[in-house]
Amino acid sequence: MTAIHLLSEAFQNLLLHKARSSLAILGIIFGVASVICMLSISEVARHDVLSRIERMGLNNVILDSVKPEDVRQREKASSQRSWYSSYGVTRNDLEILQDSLPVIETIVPMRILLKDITAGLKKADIAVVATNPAYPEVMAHGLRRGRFIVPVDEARGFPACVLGYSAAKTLFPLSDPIGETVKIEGHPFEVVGVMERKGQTGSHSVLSNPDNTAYISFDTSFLRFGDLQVRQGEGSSEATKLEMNRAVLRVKHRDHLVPVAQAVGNLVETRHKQKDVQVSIPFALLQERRQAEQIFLWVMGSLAAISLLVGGIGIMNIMLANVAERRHEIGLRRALGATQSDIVRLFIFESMVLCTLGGLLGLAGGVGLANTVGTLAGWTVRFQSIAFPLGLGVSLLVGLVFGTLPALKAAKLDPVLALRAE
Amino acid sequence: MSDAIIELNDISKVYRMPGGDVHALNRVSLAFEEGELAAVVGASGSGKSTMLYLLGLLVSPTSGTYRFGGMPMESLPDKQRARIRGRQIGFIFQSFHLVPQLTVTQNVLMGVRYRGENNGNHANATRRAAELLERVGLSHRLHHRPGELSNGEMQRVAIARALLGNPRVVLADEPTGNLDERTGGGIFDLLASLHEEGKTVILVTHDLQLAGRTPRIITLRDGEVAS
Repeated sequence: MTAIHLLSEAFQNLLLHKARSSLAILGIIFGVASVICMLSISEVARHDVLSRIERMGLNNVILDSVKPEDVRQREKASSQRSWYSSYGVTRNDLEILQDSLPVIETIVPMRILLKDITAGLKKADIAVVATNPAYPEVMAHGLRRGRFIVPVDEARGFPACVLGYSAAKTLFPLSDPIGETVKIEGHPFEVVGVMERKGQTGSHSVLSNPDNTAYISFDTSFLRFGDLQVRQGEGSSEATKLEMNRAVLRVKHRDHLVPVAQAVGNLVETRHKQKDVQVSIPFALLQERRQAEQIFLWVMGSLAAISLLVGGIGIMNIMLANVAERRHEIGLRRALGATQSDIVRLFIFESMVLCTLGGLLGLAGGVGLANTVGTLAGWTVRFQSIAFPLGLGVSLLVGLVFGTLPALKAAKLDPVLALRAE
Repeated sequence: MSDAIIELNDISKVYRMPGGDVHALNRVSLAFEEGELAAVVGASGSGKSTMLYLLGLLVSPTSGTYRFGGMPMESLPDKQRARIRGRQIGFIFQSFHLVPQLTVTQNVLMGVRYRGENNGNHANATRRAAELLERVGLSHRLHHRPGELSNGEMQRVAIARALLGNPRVVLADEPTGNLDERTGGGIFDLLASLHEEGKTVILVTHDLQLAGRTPRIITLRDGEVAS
């Protein structure tokens, strides 16, 4: 018998028992559909997290200024309505690092200015970040139009401003922002460039959204706005000397990441009395994330395996019931010249056809379910390319594995007893 | 006995049962010539059905030798026995064994896939099925299902199915057992016509009147040939 004959016969036999066949494949449909849906959702989450980490730069060491615990405690406990604090990475730190660690290629400081930005009468909730000319290269954030801050701006204290993609759209929805003036806390700045769209990076509350940011020169920020940042509340004021919120150190090679991070940690410990700098390596985060992803995949795989095992047992039960019900037919086929192998093939093909149908329906169901979840959650649904052949292959394998026992049972039936069975 | 298509020599068949061995056939020696029409009769449990299934290669003897067309059968592997069964032997059963969900034509065609000679030539097999159904008087029932047929018609479908491979030997197990006398007579006439065409027809029956219409009657008693 050829495979085509077997297939057509298997289809015919399954069609003869539509209700039973449909029930038999429910387990496989739900198993495969849930696998596809879960893989898709995990892929969305994975892609989102990984791209955020990657956009932070994989050759970078990041130094974040953090408010020390004792300053926090003091602020909470104090009855004063005004206070002053000083902490974080300093320009002096960066100079020492640059001089002592030649493997550091470039340093990009990032200072969040708690200032309002306006364009004409339009005021927008846009972050103002002071940084240096190396920012686009180190942060892999390209320019869409115009230019970024250049060393001459730094040297001359020129009030240049570069807008992030969304910030430009917000401040200048209808006109070209290049050459226009924006005011930061009343100081005029000339818009000299607009950045490409970048998307979310990392988890920092302000720095993670580079598209909604206006960039000015780091040195100019001190000339215009001084060292201190003052936040006024209702009847209270907070003055902070925070030279930068973040410094990004790009090293020449990834092998240097860990030694540089350790050296930076040691330096900070020596120079700072309090723990006010946090050192992190995006590449290490990425690796940790990948390890976590492996564990996640194992968990997902186990769930899928359990799901398909249950589906497979369902198939086996139905096939065993099929064998019991079709004893006369099996005996008859043997009398008509079928070998034991023919009977094995017949039932295994039926089981595999059942599971393949279940797998195909499960794939379709999984795609539909994932798209529905994606639409409801506002995600761009992604499917791992391996998911479809995997789903179908596993369905076939389930059919083969769980169809074998009933098929062998059918083949081993004594044809005479099968023909005489009541 | 040079024309014998079937030769049984000292054949015994013992079924091993939990309650003890059952000797279904005991040292049976028989021969059937090509083109012979014979009836095997005997009481219930005399071993006649076991003998029929043994002749049809569905049962292997416990001891003795069985030659079909001059070839020893008892040591052949399952695959070769199945091939001989499919190509040279046609079975007819008391309870017809038609698949209820298949049409008459599909039932007749059931065995064609196992003969290994008609692959890719389904049209020829279908034409032959139609011819056989016409011969048994069912050309108007090709697309009916067994549930729509009378018992006599179902047995005629089973005869057409048995003849599809143009077998040398037709084995019929109580072919008229579920039929009234008149219908059974018609079925016997069909079997007799096969014999006239040169096929070997061996039927097992407890109906002595029917057996009396065959040239040769073999009586089994307690697994042994009584006459």
